[in-house]
Amino acid sequence: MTPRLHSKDLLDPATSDALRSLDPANVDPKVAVGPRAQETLARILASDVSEPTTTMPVNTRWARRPRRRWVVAGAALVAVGALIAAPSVLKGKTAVVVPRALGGNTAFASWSPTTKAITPAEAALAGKKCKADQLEDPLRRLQFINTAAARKVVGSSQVRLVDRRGAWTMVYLGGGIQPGYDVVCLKEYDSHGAILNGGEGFTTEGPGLSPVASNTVAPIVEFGFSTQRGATACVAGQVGSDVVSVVINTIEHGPVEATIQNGYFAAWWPGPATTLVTATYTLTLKDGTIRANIPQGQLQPKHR
Amino acid sequence: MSTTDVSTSDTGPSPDREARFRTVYEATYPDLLRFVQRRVHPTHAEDIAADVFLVAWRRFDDLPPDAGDARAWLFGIAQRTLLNGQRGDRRRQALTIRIADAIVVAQGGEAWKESGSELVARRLDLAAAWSRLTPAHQETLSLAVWDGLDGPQAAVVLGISPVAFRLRLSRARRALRRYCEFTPTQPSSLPAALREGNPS
Repeated sequence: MTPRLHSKDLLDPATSDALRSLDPANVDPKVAVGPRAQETLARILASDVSEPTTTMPVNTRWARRPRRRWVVAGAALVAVGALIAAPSVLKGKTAVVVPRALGGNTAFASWSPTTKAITPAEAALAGKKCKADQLEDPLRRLQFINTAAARKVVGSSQVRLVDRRGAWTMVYLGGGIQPGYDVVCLKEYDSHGAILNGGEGFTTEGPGLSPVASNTVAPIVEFGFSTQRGATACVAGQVGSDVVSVVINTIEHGPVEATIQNGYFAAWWPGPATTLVTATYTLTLKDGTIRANIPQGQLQPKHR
Repeated sequence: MSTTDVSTSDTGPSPDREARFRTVYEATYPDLLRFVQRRVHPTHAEDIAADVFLVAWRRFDDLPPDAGDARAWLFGIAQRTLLNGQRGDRRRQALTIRIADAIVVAQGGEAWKESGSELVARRLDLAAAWSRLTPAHQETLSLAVWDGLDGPQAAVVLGISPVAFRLRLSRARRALRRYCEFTPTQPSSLPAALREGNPS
């Protein structure tokens, strides 16, 4: 039987009323039909639902839980699976959209569309921290795997790539004994190496790795992080052997250079996960060929 | 609840699906925005709400048919999104919930004129006590009082069982009452209702 709240569980009416009056939220009841909310709705509806989502579901019934699910138990990130830009969304928008997340504020002041050099030692340290974060509370994250198993999954994963933009470092982990285990850590560090902000997202149900065609890339994970500085959109995946440069063309920030390491690529930018929908890719191959403005739907799809 | 994928067709989402989502979006957007605003800086709230609805769109088949349950389901997505974003250098399992400035509320509201200093004092006591609550107690009371969720719905948001939520709510209520009683300011203005019973 599902317990309902009884009167003794609640505050007395006077206190409830007083507390209710202290609600800090201030929202226009008609906000949903306002231009900003409607623009967001249009972008969401324009996104492709043909790819399965990989975000952690919210249980509507406590007793029925899936055996395998997002690793971030109880604290899932926004993950949007492979998003494919609809051509109708791209047309005419690239030239007129004003940057939102960066425009007028300094929340991501140090972010840049190009990557910053990182020493092997710094990369190793960032990878180590990201892995340590996953090991910190494996039971909470892996609700259906015991601690030892969780530690094996995390411990066997490998740092695939480290990307730095300003004060921000993104680490992409994956692989190991659980092929579908993928992790992205995104952290902002101060000048002393202390973490100022950031988050991490991961899945145990990723598509795993498969051979990727030499002239393309295959996104594996696409995450929308909501950090205290605002929303960020991240993408990481495999890169073909002939690809020497990956540039992701975003509406909000223009071309964003991806880091390529060890056969993987990754990039991120300030903005909500919805910005992943409209991104296109420009790939440069070893022989100088440039494959420009490839919609996500025409990249190698995520492996199944 | 399963992790089954959103069902699709070769031609994309049907107009009916879009219409249903639009209805849900417009019905729940204000409440979701309020939910997020209490937990983050207001300038971030719209971006987070957009992320939440994007997930909801892709998992639309999982949306509970009951409107109240659907609202709680969306709050649950938001809660997990926010928790993940707040895990910088310190892990959290609960979100700190802001409370309005009691003085501003008192001076700006009609209740100030109608009820006078007693209500103002009650608000001041509550605001002071609120700041001493743990984040877990804050979010428990917030879901019950501000979001108006029932036990099972609030449990969905927090990812705990309804029984656990009820226990947590009971503890949160006792803690709020205790802190109101021990708040050093305005000791004579404690709400009578909060003095009743036996604080644990």
